[in-house]
Amino acid sequence: MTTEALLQRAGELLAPFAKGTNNPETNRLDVQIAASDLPAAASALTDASWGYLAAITGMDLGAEANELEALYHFCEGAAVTTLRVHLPREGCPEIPSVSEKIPVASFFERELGEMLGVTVVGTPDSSRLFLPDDWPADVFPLRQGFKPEQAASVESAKAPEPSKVGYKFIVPIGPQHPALKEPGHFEFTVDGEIITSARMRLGYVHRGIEKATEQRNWIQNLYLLERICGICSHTHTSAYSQGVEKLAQVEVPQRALAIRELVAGLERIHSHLLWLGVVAHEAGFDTLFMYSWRDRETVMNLLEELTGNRVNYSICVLGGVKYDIGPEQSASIHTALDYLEERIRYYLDIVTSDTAFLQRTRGVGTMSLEEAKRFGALGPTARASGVNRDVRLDAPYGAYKRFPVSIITDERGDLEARFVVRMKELLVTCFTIRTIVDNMPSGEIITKFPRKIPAGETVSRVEAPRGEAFYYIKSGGGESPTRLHIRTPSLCNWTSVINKAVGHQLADAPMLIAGMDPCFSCNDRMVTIRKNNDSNTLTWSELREYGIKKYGQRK
Amino acid sequence: MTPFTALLSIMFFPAGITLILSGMLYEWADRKLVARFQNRIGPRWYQPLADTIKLLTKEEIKPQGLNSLLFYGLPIVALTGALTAALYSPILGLVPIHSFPGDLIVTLYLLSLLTMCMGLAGWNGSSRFSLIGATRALTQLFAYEAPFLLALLGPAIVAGSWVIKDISVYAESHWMVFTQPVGFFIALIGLMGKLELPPFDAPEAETEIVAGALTEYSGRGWPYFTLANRSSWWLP
Repeated sequence: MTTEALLQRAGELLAPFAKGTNNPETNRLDVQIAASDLPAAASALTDASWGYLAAITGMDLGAEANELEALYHFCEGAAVTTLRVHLPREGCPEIPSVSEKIPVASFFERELGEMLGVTVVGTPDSSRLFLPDDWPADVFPLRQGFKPEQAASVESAKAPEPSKVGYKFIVPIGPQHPALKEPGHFEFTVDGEIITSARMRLGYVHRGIEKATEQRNWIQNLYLLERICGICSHTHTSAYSQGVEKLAQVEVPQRALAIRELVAGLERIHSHLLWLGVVAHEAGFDTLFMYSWRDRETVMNLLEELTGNRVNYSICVLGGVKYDIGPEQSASIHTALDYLEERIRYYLDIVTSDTAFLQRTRGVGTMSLEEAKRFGALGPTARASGVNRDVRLDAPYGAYKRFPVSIITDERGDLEARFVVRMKELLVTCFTIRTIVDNMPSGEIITKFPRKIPAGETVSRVEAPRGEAFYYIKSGGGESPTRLHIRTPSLCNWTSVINKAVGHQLADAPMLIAGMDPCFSCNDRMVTIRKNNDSNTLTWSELREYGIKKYGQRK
Repeated sequence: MTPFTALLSIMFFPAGITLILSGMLYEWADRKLVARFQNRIGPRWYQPLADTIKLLTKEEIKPQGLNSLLFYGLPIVALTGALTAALYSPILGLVPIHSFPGDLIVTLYLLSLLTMCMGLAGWNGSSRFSLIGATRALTQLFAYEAPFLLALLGPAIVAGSWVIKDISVYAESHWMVFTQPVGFFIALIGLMGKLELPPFDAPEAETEIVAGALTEYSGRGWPYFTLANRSSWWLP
């Protein structure tokens, strides 16, 4: 179906609930509905299998409008349908939950509740997801007029008592645990060695980036957003630039778009090889871990040669890219890819033939096509279950129309399939990179970009190594965004892990968590802001002095 | 055997320092080889010794709510058990220096002491990781202990003696690997389970339960346990 046909179908489905409809962009449909109609409208879309819930954006329209807004974005192919719900700003705004039909919504609803103070009626878990336990109950950081002073720690609200219902044996994994390279917290209730239920908590490295973007101008935000994630940094800058360029109606040179896709491809190689090592380590296959990380150095060095940086490449700028690729770089890309392709083929062989390793992956955590769709899984995790979903093909952006990629899916849905999908994806990526290098469009790499962006809102979607990254950008016509909402793929994939872990051995839990390639820093974008005179806060020199004093006394 | 020579043999040779140092050598060889297999450089030869010295100087933090006698005593009992067992075991083909009728059973018991101590240490801990680790260690103990014992009974019956010395003397003139192949393989597998070598390392599977039964050991207790384990590598 074409995008127009999809939008028309969505319009028909939502007609009974619509209070107002408009098309802000050619691929978007915006439908205003009443809060009470929300579950029915969401079911109308999902029952007709029109798309999946990509994100829920909460917004405070400010004291003047005296309203809050919740936007439910559904995506299908290139079409985006947004359900727009207006809520009162005063008192306690309430919105019915849609998580019964759409399990992944429960994460978005928890975020909406704690960040904007919207009570989601009927959501299965309304506890904190991102904010710390000692955050004051009536302070909502994404409301207009929030001041950091309001976020002082509340002593009495610390550490909720663990539930004492029955005699459950709960194994905590994280926030500090050898299996996790980044902080997250999981509670696995076990019966012997079998997991009977699972819970999770995020937010240990939340940095408040969404809020921070509102205080910085459009250019400064580029720098900030690059630091959302250390692995897919380019994804975030390219998603952001793409959205802002759309708002500013700036045509980006073809050469710049090709270079963006090329760097995205290299980033995918480095991300998947890193993941391969981490999961191999969780399975106790340390040799594969060491080998894949050694080979990952090749692509890291290549990125350093192209951009000057190994992690935050900062090659993407508004209106184009910063660095060009010359004949010398093209040659080294080809040399590096020769080596990498050979290694990736070897790893593909290993993960499908090593008997000991297959025992940990084959048939473990199998997710069927229906489940993957219902849980809202994204990226390679979903494609390993046969979900035919990839933004690079569904809604080709940037240079992906010119240099398309082919989609890799697998029907089996277990951990092994996720290995196979990722490794094959790398081979496709290597091929695409070679095509780009050989057929690089000529011309400028950057174009002039305005300082102020015209008022408007847009949605920008980019396929990160882990799945779709979703950006909602709203401009008020000034030098900085009014609202920037980011939904990263890891957040959608958690539902599948939490649900699939039940019934598995405890020993499989780390593999299941790592199997979806979680990225905690993507999820977490806020931290407790404490006052400087707080006794819990130590500066570096104070900490040093404290250490010297403490250990000096013992002698 | 005078008390003095007994003390000497426990402290220095064949048990004591010799056993501990050779245990370290073994650990180094293991780590170095694994590192080379994995395309890494690996540690220098004195790394295990340096680790042990460092760990011995560390502060020991006793978690609240557990029996301190057990907490401090168990590592020492485990190490002592392993060292004592060395007196009755043939090491590197040398004839064991002490023996008495039935020492085979005693030595086997002493070797199990390590696992029992680890299990107790885990039960004693308040941490959920140690509890699961202890459960796994003890479950595994039941699985391999009986076959291991039975596999060693074979040679004892053939040699007609319960004394390790007599069995090893008998073994010098008879290749029991060929006369009792089943027993040999069972003993080998049992041994791997006893020493918690992969694939029998579930009790300390770090990706789920951190360090298993020994999670709460922060200072001296940990190296005692590790030393006991490393030393036992030499015994069989």
